[in-house]
Amino acid sequence: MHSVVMVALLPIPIKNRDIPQKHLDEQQQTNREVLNEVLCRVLHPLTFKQNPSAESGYYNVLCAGGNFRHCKPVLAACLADCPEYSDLHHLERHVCTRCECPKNELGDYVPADKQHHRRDHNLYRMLSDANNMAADAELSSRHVHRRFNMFLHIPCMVSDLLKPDLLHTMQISMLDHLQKWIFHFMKTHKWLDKSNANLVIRACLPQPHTKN
Amino acid sequence: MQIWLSVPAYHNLTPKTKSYEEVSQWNGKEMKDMSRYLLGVVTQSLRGGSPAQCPIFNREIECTRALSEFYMYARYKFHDDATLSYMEDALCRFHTFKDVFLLGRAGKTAKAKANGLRTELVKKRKVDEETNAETLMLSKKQHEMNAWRDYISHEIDVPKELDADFNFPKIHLMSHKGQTGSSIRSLATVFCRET
Repeated sequence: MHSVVMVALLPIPIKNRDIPQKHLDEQQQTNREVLNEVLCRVLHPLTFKQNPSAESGYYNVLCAGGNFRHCKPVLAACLADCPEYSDLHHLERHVCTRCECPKNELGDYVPADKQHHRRDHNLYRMLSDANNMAADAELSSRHVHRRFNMFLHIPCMVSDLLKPDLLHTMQISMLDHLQKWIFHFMKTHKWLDKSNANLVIRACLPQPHTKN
Repeated sequence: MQIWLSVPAYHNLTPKTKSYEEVSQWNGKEMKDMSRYLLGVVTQSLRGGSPAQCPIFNREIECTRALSEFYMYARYKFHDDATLSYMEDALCRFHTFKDVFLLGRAGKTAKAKANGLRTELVKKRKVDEETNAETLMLSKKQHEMNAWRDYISHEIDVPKELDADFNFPKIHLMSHKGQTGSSIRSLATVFCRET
C-alpha cells in the first residue's frame, strides 16, 4: 500500500578523528548548516505561505491508476536513526527529542498520565526569530541550538513526525545492555560456573572485554 | 560451545555457522533471534539457587521477562488498546525490577545507596551519580520506551479539511472503537523502523 520515491540523498559528513576540539565543533556546525540547507531546498514547497489561499499548496498528481488527483502533500513522518533526530531538529545530544524531560530524569519510569511537556516548536520558532540574549538563554535551557531549522517552518506538529526507532532503541541498545546486565549479574552472584545449565548462558551472553 | 551451534532452524531461527567466540558484533537480526530464547535460557540457568538467592533470581527473571515482553509488543505492526496496555504494564514491571541489575554494575558506594533505596521502597535510578555519555544515552533509550504508547496512540494534528481531502487510499488498520478514521494517522503509525 505504500510507495517510496527518493527525492534526494542527504550529505553524509566525514568522520573527523584526531583533530582539535575547536575545529571539530566548527566542522560539526558546518555539517548541521549544510544538512539544514539541503532540507530547506527539499521541503520548501511544504513551508508556511505568506498569504495562504484555499488553493495554495494543492497539486495535480498523476496516480498509479492513470488519473490525476488534486492533492496537498502533508509531512506525516520522519524516519531517521535515533541520534540523527537530534541533528535534524537542532537539539543537543542525549536529550529527548519529543518532550522536555530534564536530563537527570531520563531513564525513570513516567506513567502515561504524567508525561512531560511536549516540545513546543512554535515557541522555538519565535525564540529563534527573536534574536536576543534572553531568547538564546531560553533556548539553551531547553537544550535547543539557536539556528534556522526547516522543520519549524512547516505546518505540522514536529514532535509527531518522529517515529520509534526499534532498531537503535531496542535491538542493538536495550537488548544488548540486557545481555551485559545478565552477565554481570551472574558474575556478581558467582553463578556462571555453578551448574551444567550455565553452559547455555555462557553460550548466549557476551564475554567481557579483557585488556592484555 | 556446541549448544550455541546446535540451535535449530526452528520457526525462522537462523542456524549458527560460527561459534559464539567468532561473533564479533551482534546485528539487529541476531538480537531479534536471541530475544526469542533469552528468557528460557536465563530461567533455566538460574535454577537451583539457595533460599537466599531465589528472591533475587526471581526479580532478575521478572526484569528479563518484562523487557522481552515490551520488545515483543513493540514489534507488533498493529496495536489496539489491549496490546498498548500490555506494553505499558511490561514497561512498568521493567522499571520496578531493574534495580536488581544495578547492584551488579555499580561500585561499593552505589551498592550501599541502592540497598538504602530498596529498603525505603524508592524505585529510582540514581545509583550512579556520574552522568557520563553512555549512561545518558541508555537513559534516553529507556525514556523513549515511556513514550512508545503515546507515539502510537497520539492523534496527528492535521486540519480537518486536509484530512478529508487527503488523497491517500483509506487504510483502516484497526477496527476497534476510536481507532478508525484518519488515514493520515494510520499511515503515520505504521512507519516504525525495524531491521
